[in-house]
Amino acid sequence: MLLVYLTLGLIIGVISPVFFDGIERKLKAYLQSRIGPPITQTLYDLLKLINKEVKPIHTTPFIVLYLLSFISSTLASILMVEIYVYTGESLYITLGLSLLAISLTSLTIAPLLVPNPFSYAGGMREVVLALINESAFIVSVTMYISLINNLLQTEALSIPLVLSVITITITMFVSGYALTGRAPFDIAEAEPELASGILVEFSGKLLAAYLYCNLLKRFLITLITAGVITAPLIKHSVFSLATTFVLTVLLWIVFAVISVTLGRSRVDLAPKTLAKTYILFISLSITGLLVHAYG
Amino acid sequence: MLMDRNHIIQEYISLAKSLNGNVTIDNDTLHIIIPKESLVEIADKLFNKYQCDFRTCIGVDERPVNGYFSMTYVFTDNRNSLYLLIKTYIDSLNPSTPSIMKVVPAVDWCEMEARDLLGIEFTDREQYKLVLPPGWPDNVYPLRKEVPYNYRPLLRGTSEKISPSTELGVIPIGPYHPALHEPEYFELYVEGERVIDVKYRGFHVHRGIEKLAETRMTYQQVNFLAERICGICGFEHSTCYALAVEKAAKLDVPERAQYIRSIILEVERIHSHLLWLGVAFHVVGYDAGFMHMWRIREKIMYLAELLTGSRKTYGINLIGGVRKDINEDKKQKTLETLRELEKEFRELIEIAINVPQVKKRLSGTGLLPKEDAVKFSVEGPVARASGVNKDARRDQPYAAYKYTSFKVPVYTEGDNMARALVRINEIFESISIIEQLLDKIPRGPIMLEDFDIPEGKIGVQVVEAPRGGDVHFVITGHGKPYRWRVRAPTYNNIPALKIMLKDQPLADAPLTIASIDPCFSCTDRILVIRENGKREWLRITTGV
Repeated sequence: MLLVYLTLGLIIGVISPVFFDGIERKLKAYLQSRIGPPITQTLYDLLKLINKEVKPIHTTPFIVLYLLSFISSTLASILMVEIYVYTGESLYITLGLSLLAISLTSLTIAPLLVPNPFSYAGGMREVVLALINESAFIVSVTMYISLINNLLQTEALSIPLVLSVITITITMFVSGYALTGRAPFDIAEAEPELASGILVEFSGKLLAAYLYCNLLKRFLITLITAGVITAPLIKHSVFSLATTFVLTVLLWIVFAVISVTLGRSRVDLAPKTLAKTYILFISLSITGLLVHAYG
Repeated sequence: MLMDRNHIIQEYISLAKSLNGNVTIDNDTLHIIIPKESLVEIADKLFNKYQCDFRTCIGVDERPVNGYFSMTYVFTDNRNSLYLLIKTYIDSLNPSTPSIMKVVPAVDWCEMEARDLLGIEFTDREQYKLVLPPGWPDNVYPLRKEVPYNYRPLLRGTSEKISPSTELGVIPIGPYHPALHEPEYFELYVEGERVIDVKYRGFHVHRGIEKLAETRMTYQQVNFLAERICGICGFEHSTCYALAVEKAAKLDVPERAQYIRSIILEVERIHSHLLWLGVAFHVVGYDAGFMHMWRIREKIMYLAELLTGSRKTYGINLIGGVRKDINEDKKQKTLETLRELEKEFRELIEIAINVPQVKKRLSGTGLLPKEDAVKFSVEGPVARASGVNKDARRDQPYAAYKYTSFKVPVYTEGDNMARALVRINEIFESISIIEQLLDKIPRGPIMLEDFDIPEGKIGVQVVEAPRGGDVHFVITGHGKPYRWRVRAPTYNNIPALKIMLKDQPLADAPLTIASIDPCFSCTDRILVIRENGKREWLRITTGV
C-alpha cells in the first residue's frame, strides 16, 4: 500500500507544480486587478516551448546533464520527504535534505555554463543567494524537527523552548521562501535588469526544461516545509501525506501573496539582510534551547 | 542674476554691441547676430556669467536667401522670461565656425548634428558622426536645400562595434533590451556588480522629419507630424510647433483655445507620469505597483478620449487654435474623474513608494549633482530633482499657464527617488491646474478665422513636456516652414546618464536609465545587418 501512496505522491509531485504555478499566476493577476491567464497556462507555455527549436550553445550537453541531475535528485528527494511524512523516520528527511543540496547545486551551476554576460551575472547572483539560503534552510529544518519533537515530548510548557521553536520556524519559512526565487529574491532572473539573466540563452526544449526545474524546486522546498510541520503532528498515516499536500498548496499560495507585496532586492542588499536575519534567529533559537536545557 | 527685466535686456544689448553684435528685440525674444569670432565669448558670458539656460542650437542652410549657412544658439533667461537667439553667419564655401563646447558642454550633440546634416565644421573640438548611419556617402548633407527629401543612398551594410563584446566585464544594454522600449545602446563596464564606465550609442532610427516638414508639408499638416514625434507626449510637440509658428507670425490665438491646450497638456502630463511610475515599479520588480498604476492611468486615458476624441495622439492642435471644444457636460465629467483619480492615486502611491525594496533602490541611486545638471543643461524632472529650479510653464509662460497658480517641485538629492517624487508631486499639481483652468475657461471661439503667415520670420518656443522642455524653432517659408528644428528633452538628458550610471550598482542601471523617462525614436528598421555585411529581411513566418 505504501508503494501505491508513494507512487501517487510522486506523480502529484511531477505534475502539480505546473498547475500550482498557474494558480499563482491567477492569484497574482487577481491581486493586481487583472484577469490573468487560465491556470493551465504554464502547461501550455511548456508544451509550446517543447515544440520550438533550440538555439544550441556549445555547452548545451553539459547543461542538459546538470538539469537531468537536478530532476533525478529532486524526484528522489520528493520520495524521501514523502516516506518521512508517512513513516516519521528522521533518516528519510536527512536523505531528502542531502538530495535537495545536490539538486540545488546542479541547478545553480547550469547558468554558469552559458557563455553570456547576462547569464553569468545572473548565475553568480544565484550562487551568492544559494550559499546563504541553502545552508540556512537545511540547518533550520533539521533544528525545527529536533526542537518540535523535544517540545512535543516535554510535559510542562517551556517558554524558552517555545520561543526557540518559533524563531527557528521563522528562519525555515524565510529561507524556504528565499530559495523559491520569488520577489524580492528573484535577482538571478531579474528580467528588466539582466534581460532575464540566467534564462537569456535558453530556448525551446532547454528553456522548457529549465523553467520546469525551477517549478520542481519550488515544489520540493514547499513540500519539505509542509512535511516537517505535518509529520511530527500526524504520524504514520495516509492522512499525514494528504495533509502535507494540502499544506503545500496553502504555503504556495501564501508565498505567492507575499511576492506580490514586494519589489526586487539587489545582490548587495539581499544576502546581507538574509545573513543578518538568519544569524539572529538561529542564535536566538539556540539560546532558547540552552536556557531550556540548563536554565 | 536677478534684476529688473529692462535692465537685463540693456545688459544683453550692451554685451552684444561690445562684441560687434547686432540686436533686435521681438516681444520676449532677443535676436543677436554676432560675428563668429565673438561666438565663444558671448556664449561663455550668457551661460556662465548670466546663468542662462542653454536649450539647443540650429544649423540653417540660408544660401537660397543670402548665400550663407547660419548657426543659431538658443538660450533662455528663465528668471526674466526671455529667449536669446545667438546667430552667426557662416561662409558657404568654407562652412566652418568655432565650437562653443568648451564653455557650454551641452552643445556637443546639436553641433555634431549640424555637421552631419548640413556639413558645417566646428573647430576646437573633437568631431564625430552622430546622426547619419555608417556608410552614408561623403559630401551629402540631407538638410541642405539642394538635397531632395526622398534621397536614398545605396548603403552597404556595416556592423559597428563600440568595443569587443568578448571583453570581460562588459554588459551591453540595448539596442533591444527589456528595460528599453526603443532602440538605444549602452555599454556598461563593470567590476563585479559595480558600473565603472559607460559608453552610449544612439540615433539608430533618425527619421528625418525636419526635412519632410520643410519640403512636402504645409504649415497645418506639420502639426500632425509634430504630434507623431512621440507616442506619449506628442501633444506637447504639436503645441510647441503651433506656438512657435504663431509667435513668428504674431497671431493672436483665442484665449479659449489656449485654455484647452493647457488642459490637454496637463492631461498628457498626468498620463505620462503615471505611465513612468508604472514602468519604474516594474523595473524594480514591484509588479503590483506597476499594474495598479496603469489601472489608475486608464482613467486619464478615458479623460483624454472624452476631451479630444482619442486616447492618444489627439490631433486637435492647429495653428490658430484647436479643433475640439469643451462643453459643460465634459467639464463636469472631467472634474469627477479627476477627483476619483486623485483619491486612488494618493492611496496607491503612499503604499507603493514605501515598499522596502522600492524605497531602498530608488534612494541614493543614479545620482546627478546640481553642477552636472547645469553643465549638461538637463531638462524637466531630471533637472528639478537635482536642485535646478526651472519649469517653462512658469519661466516662459505660454498657452494659459499665466492664469494658473502652481508649485514647481524641486528636490536637491539628485537621485532616482527625487526624480520619482518630482513626478508624483507634479501629478497633484497638474490635477489642480486642470481644475483651475476649467473653472476659469472663458467663452469665445476656439480657432482664429483668417490669418497669414509671412515669410522669413523666426519663432522659438519652449513647452514643458513631462520629460522637460521641448524646443521648436521655426523660420517661416512660403506655405510651409523654411526651417523647423525640434529638440526633445531627452536629447539633453541622455548625456547626463554617464554621470548618473557611474559607480552605481549594475542592478540599478536600467532603473537609472528609466529615471530620465527616455523617449527614443518610435519607429524601427526591420533590416538585420550581419557582421559580414549581408542583409537579411525580417520574415513574418520564419524570423531572420
